[in-house]
Amino acid sequence: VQQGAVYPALQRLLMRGLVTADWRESENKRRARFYRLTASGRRRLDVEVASWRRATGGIDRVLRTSLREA
Amino acid sequence: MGWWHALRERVAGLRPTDERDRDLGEEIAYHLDVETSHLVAHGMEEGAARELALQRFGDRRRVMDETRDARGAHSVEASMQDLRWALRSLRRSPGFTMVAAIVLALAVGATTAVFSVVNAVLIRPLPYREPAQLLSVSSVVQPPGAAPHDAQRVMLTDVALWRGASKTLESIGGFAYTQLPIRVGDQAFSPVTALVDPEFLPTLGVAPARGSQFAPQETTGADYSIIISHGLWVRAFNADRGVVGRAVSVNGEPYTVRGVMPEGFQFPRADASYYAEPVDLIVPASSFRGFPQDTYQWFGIARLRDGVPLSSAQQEMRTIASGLATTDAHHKDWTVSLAPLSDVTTRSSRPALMIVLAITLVLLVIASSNVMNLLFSRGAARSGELAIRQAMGCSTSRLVRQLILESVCLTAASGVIGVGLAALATNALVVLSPVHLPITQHISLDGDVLAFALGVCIVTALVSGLVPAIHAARTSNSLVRAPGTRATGNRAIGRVQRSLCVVQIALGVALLSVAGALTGGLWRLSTTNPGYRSDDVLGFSFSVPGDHSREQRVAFYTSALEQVRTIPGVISAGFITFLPPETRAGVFMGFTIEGAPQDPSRTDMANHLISSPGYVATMGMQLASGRDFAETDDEHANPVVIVNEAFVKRYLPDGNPLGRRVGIAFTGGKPTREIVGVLRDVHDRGLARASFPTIYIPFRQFSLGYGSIAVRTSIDPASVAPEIRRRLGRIDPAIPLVHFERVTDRIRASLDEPRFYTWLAMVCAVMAVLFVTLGLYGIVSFNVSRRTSEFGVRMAIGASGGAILRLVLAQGVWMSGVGAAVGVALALASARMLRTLPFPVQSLSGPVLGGAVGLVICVTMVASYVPARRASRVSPLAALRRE
Repeated sequence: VQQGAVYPALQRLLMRGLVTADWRESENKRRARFYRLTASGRRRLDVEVASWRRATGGIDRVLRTSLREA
Repeated sequence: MGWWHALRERVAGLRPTDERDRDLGEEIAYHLDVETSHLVAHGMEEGAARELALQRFGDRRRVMDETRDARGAHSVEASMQDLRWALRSLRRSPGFTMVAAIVLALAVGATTAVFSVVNAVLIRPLPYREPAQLLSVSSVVQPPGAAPHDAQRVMLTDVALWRGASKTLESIGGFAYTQLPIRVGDQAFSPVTALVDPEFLPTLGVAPARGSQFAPQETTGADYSIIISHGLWVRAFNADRGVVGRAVSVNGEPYTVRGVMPEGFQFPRADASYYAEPVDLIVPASSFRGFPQDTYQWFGIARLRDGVPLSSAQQEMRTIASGLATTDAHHKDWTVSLAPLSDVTTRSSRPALMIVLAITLVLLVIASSNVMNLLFSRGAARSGELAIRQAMGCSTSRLVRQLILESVCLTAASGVIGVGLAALATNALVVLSPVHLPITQHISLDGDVLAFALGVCIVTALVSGLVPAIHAARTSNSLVRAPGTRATGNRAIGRVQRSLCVVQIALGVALLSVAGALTGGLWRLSTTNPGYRSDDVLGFSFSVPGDHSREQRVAFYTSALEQVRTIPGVISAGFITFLPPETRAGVFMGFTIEGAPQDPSRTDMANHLISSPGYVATMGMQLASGRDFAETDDEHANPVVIVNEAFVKRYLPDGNPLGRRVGIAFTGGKPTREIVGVLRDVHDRGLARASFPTIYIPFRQFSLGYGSIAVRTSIDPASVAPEIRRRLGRIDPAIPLVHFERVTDRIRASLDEPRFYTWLAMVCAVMAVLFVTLGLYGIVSFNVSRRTSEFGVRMAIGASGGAILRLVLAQGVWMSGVGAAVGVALALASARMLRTLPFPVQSLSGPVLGGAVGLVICVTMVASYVPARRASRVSPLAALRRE
């Protein structure tokens, strides 16, 4: 994945209200855009993380049993 | 609160695009700077670091495009740009644009025009107050052990009984159609008249525009007032504003004008009227004795109370009817049936209109699949161009959008042309539509019809544009990723295109078969020998006012015949109640036969026609046996009748009918009238229908207050009309003469309905064949041009021109073969629908199907032969050089 791909993705998150963005001054005194998770973004992240854990947990169990059998 | 942030982002998105692009540019520049300095900090040289940062970032243009797309509604500027691009690219290929636009415009035009008729006749509510509450009431006879028969009518005397008993009906009224002579000043008219009870107009919820409703029945005895139509008010009263209260002679009796109906008011059940003209005169049934109230000749109209379901009203009416049956022998075996009025008025025209609408929708499917195919070819031909655009950074979604916009522009243009065509076609449809098509309001391109056309265009644009656009964009995308994979997408699309072609051919064959069945039916009808003369016979009708005695009436008929017969150029003349062909009117009543037991449950009916000596000869009809009426068959002679073969076949199948006696209801029903002649059957009720059992009665022995005279001439029949008017006007100026027309014209008019629908179907079928031909031609030539180099190679290694010709033709043959087979199956599947039409059609058998298949195969052969021939003449060298 190339780095540029993050910008369309961020724009999509903005459109869904999962993140917000403001222009602020960065450490090196330049105008930069800062992205922050919103409350619903946080909730969504929790949900996605939980489902990711479930999925990987499932795969993990499968792997473990098959390894044992092998 | 996610929605709040989302909303803020969207509001922020309303800023001008350049500004947001500048921001994004700054953001990316910052990203690159930070990345570069990060790399420099890790010991890289400045130039190399920036290069690596750029490389890691990826295609900046693409990122910007995709981010812009992610903003959702892409900016107005971009849309305008896309629109300009779409228009420019359409303009660049005028051939494609013209063909596609014309095909779509014709289909949209045809569909819209037919829908405007369907909308006016079937969809728009009836033009009365709360039309959903209106019901048609009819009496149903159900003799024990026999199937119930819906009389479609009621007795007016029953309407009064039901009114007193019903609690579910708000009101109920009855009316009947007739035609009465009236005199306004010294002018005589013969308007189509509705006899009504006073509750009828309030039940419809329509009030006179001037004057007032009829008074309720109980307050008056016989009501000698009339309400006239707007048309009659203008025609007979010169739109006199003081018309209310004016004296008018109706049927020889003095009446006063009570009111004038609003302009555009139409009677319900025009579909069941005997008359071609609308009702111009409304007369209270209470004052007109010429039309018995206790016969099943009245239409019942009722209005449901608010909130009462039809089923409970039906239940109540059945209970009322069975209650009446126990107390009154007359009501034995009779019950009442209710139905929504709008269902009943459209019953006869619904099947034909739905079939025609289905035909135009099929035409639309052919047209849009045609355009879809064209768009596929166009996309394939432009794959190079599209690939370049994608390589330059145009995103796939933007490309799809542009391509769809192109077909939207195309469809919009065809939609505008199509609606214009529909406006012209609708005018033609109004002129050509059969008289009794219940056009409750004028057919017009109103808001609903335009909305329909818009919907059709949107669906067409999406259906025909979306798939080719996505396909074209995808194909070119894969070309960008992996140049040289030219063939993969094309093979699949070739299959899709060929299937679309097969679908078109199949639908074309089906449409052509249906149109062929209709045309065959019409042809057979119009070549049917009616059994009587038509070219040289003129007819006209009249009604004698009720103040004329029976003797005066007969005297008028006698001297009218004498006068007409002595006009130079007239060969003969005869009196008849209704001139043939008469598809609607008749005097259908029961009768008795001497020696035959009278079964009360029998519903045997015969048409009763009053006739004069000379009528049979004038019409050139044939006597199977016996004699015609003679001048001596008068009131002093033995009562006689003539019957037709249908009567004999049905009621006197055994022995010689001559000498048997029948009785008619007019004169008490005693079988005293001797049969002196049997007429051969003729198509006197329209060419499509067989003869109805008929009894002819000589006019000197029994007569009615109306009739017609048939005149056979040796010169142009129309030329004697003025002289007839002059001579008969001298005999009795109070008797208006109407409907001077040749029997030929009556026959033609009786075929108006099948002709109307046949023409619509034929026009659609011709267009369909045209579209199918164009479509196939387009596909085959596109294939030929794409395979030019292949053909070059084939010929270079020894294939002959003929082999190439056969190769290309085979494809066309294959498609039309499969298409024709499917089409025949579709046509056969539609046969049941065709049987619902109110006129006969040719059965979908060998000749019709064979003709349709033959025609379609011929045109598809030509359509693929032309490009195939071009392919066979490819010069191998030139073809190879193209690679």
